[in-house]
Amino acid sequence: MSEAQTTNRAEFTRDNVEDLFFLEAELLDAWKLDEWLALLTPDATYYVPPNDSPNADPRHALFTIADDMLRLKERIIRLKDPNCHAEYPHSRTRRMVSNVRIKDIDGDRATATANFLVYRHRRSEPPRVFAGHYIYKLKRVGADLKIFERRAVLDAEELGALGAVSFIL
Amino acid sequence: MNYLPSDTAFHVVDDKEKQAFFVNREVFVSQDIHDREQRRIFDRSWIYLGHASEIKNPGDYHTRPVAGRPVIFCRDRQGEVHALLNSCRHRGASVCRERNGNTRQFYCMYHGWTYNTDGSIKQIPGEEAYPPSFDRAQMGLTPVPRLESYRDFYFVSFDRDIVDLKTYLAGAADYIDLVVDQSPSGRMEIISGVQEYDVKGNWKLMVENSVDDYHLLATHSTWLNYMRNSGVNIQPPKGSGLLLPTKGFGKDLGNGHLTTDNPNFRGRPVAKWISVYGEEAKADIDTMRAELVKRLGEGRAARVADTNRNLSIFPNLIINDGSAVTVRFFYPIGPDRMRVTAWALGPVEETEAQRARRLYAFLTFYGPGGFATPDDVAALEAAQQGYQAYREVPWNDMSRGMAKGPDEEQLHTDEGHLRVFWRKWSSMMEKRG
Repeated sequence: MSEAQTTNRAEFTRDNVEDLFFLEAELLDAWKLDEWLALLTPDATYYVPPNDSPNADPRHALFTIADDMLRLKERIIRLKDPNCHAEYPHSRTRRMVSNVRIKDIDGDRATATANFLVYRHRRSEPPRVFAGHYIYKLKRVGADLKIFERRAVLDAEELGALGAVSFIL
Repeated sequence: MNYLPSDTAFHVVDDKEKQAFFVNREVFVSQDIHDREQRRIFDRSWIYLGHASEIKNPGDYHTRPVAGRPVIFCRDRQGEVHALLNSCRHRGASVCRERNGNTRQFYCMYHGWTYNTDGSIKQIPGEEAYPPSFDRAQMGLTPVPRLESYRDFYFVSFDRDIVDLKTYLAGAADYIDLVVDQSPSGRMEIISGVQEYDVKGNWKLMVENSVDDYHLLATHSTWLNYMRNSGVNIQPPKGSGLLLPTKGFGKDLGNGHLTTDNPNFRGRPVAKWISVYGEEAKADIDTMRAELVKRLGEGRAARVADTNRNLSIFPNLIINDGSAVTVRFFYPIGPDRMRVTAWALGPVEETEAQRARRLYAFLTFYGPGGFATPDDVAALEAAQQGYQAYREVPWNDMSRGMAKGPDEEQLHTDEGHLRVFWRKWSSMMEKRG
């Protein structure tokens, strides 16, 4: 790959950010969790804030999910284990990611948002639809863009019939 | 011996002579039983409403369903706490449609009737059209018949004649004390961020699941692996015959209330360090421990800090004081579905670091994104599906530990404490001899 192309892929353009998000959605839908983890920086965090206070801080409010990398790695060990009963057999998921926007660029970091619809299917159940938006903090690492914070904010007023968030949202 | 009950009209079979205890699975699927539970159990018990910390200031309110009714839990402008039925006296519409907030009044958007925060009527548009028989003073929001609190936990009852709350709580009050004693000032608070989720299972399954430690190994092996990977010892002592790392107990607290009471191995934010908290937390937890000892003495401090207790207050409140403290109540939406509402509870004095540690610890296990609760839900939903075959496979055996004498302690992996719930349930639902 030429120098120009390498530099290009790590620029905060809509195309590059969309490519990253679309790749991420594909890997998660395919349950390629280790490959997905490689899209994140080693100090990345993953949050699903509480439905009733989506803008909360995980140090002050009870989140649905608030993982540092230590726990995220354990979550993936769990998700790959057949004794992870909530996700065994694995749910079939299909993610639609759209409305990708780069909100802010600050040197080698940027904030980007996207809308999501995640359909989750399990045997003999009506599909559950998780709708919401992502807030990403991205970082330029070498020739790539990496995710160092990932916040999946659900629109639902309460989880209710969505039940658990037992897969990676 | 292969004993199964036959020719019985009862759903709970408690045969001390044969040392047998059975629950008929119809109790989890029958619409008729579900309907009778509303009148016989939920209308005749003390039902958890909320915590004082949720309505700190005059005018604060929360709306939530309680025993199937829409209720406003609020503090009026004078500071008094109320439980008001959220239904306009005129045509019944909700007079408060927000989850929570602070207000000077409740306003019905249908015809504009307005109520004060103590429930009294404030304004009726076009009031002059009513005849002389119309008694304005009687038109306030209807309060739930009974409202009482114990150590900031507020309960309501729709039974005017029910015993007072403290009497009702019986031995459960001591276990609430153990939770509250974690706070130097005796003040705990509900932490922002509510978890509300449905489980496609009968509500009584949540009572069982919350206190049944027999399921831990099979249902939660991935959580145990997480603890082990983080440096926590999860092995039962060699030769102990135990299923879990510590020998815990199941206890009858009277009136259908029960608890597990387990020496801790999984860490406690107040105040037992485990590796999951990180080395940097050690000194801070030592300081908290010292505060407990100074305030409560060695014995009581150990009781508070070294035991985990999953407390079930009949019929539908669970306070789990384990990896963190969770307050969880649930209510049936039908025989095969419930809505669960859960919060984290912590001492008001916690520093930012202590609070963050508590919340992190909470999520290692509890909640719809935790490492354990989703598998509990999966187990309950699997049981509910299995109960579709209740006619062919009618009985749940609940006899673990039943051969023990009255002086022998029931283990947390026995079912002595589960039988406490079912005996109470039966006494309210089934008429005997």
